[in-house]
Amino acid sequence: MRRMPIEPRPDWKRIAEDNGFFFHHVNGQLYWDESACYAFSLEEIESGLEDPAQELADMCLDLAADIVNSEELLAKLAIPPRFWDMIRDSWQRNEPSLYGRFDFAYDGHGPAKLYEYNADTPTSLYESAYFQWLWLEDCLAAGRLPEGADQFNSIQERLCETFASFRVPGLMHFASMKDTEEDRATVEYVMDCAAQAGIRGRQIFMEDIGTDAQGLFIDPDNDPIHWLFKLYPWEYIWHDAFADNVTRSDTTFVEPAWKMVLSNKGILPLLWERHEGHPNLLPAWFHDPAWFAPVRDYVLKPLLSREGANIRIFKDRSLVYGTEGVYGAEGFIGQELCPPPFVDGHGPICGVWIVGGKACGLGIREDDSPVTGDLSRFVPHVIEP
Amino acid sequence: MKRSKGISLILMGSLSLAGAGCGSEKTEQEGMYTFSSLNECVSSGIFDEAQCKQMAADAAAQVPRFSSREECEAQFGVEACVHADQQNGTTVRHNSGSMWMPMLAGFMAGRFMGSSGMMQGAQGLYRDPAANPAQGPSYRTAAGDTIKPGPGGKVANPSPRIVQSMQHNAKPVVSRSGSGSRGGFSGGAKASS
Repeated sequence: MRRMPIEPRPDWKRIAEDNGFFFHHVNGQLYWDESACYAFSLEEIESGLEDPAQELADMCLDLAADIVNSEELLAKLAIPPRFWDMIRDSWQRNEPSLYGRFDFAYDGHGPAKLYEYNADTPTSLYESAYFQWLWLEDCLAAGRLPEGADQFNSIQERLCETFASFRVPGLMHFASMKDTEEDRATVEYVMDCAAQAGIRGRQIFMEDIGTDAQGLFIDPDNDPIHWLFKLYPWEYIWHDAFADNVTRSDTTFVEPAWKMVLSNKGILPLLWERHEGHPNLLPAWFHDPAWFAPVRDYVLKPLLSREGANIRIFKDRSLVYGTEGVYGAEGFIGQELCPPPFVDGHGPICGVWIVGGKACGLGIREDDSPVTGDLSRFVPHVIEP
Repeated sequence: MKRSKGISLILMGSLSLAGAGCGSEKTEQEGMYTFSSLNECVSSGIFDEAQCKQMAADAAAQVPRFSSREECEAQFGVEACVHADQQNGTTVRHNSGSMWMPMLAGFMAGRFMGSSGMMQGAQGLYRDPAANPAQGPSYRTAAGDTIKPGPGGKVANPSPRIVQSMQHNAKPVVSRSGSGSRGGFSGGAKASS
């Protein structure tokens, strides 16, 4: 694995915007960065990332089966009791999951180490699945990459296959929150994949959802919402005015309610307890401030958080770095410190996508700070022939 | 190969750009129109961008599926059908095993008076095997009716049969009422991680 400078496509901004990709800069900073790419061997991709991600995805399903049936574990993950029945029901009904993303520290040397699993509302889907693919095809066509160059990326193909297996009888709704262009575009992309699988979709905003006289969900046109793809985390729903409506609704949510037990950093210590010493796991524990951490260099992460918020890094048990945020009320887990690998001065995080239960693609974000937040850059990758 | 063979977008794309800011110019008149692309629908100004996207999506979702090429071609003509593997280059596995589908040539969008007031709907359009290019565009519907649009894609005096075929997925333009409450989802600022 190496970081390889490459000539950007001269008109890449126009290509991006022609393809509905308007968030190539975020807050004035470059987000999509094609002045370089990460080059892998096929062996590094398959043995280093794809196989471990698949194994972890399967381990997570086994773990979910344990958690949904254990009030002790549900409580340990700080999931509100009023959602426990809904979680169990959605698991027993085998409600389908669309996707998730494992984030790894990996530089091609030694095993990939799992940072976390974004199992509910993973971002960077469009740029991983579609725009990165387009970049590779353009580079191949222009001769910027050698013939036979490939990419670990059948994400979109797999999204369409997975949607085709959902058996949505009527309309499916696709929702994000207002005032975030990036999320709106991602939801539009997901709806595009669903349409290609024959699903009739309608895009709405979460804030515009209402209830009818029975308290069941309706869209802005007062049409019933039977299937809802939501780019909206379950833990927001816990505290929403509609929380009770959700638990007694007739809506099928994607991601399903059982994903609540996996989109929680508490799975990191639970995975470690069950698979201690696994080469792709870092030692992790439920953090108790009254006890010494079991290792000297470690990270504390809130059970629930996103975009690298409220992370604290300790070296020799002293705080050396922290990020701000609003998370952490539910408790923290500790994880042995494993800084991102530095490849030619940059810190790439490898996000492996799981779609319909299958590891099917890679998106890399790199950051110059120790915690990957929402200002990191997306850098495409290539498998060398 | 470890990447998708050939993928594309049907709803996102240059369309979004073309439609930006056109939302308020739509008219609310009765009529039926053919569009060869989403872009054409948006730039017509007859429907707003969201409506065009919705109708293009509805049309794409209604494309009939067949278990063999022969069955599909018997209805839609020689060379009119593709395997689902080739349509958008995307592998779509349906539970029924129906893998052959006719290629969309466009869609027909319309507003018309229905039993419960003004309705709006769309359906897919396919190549007309009997089309004579010299006589202007000609399409056919999934049910086999020929559609010959006039200037601006307007379908003049559609037959009752065609109006009826538009009704099955049409919905009222005017909203119903009687909702419980709105706005109960109001979580944090940015939802993805």
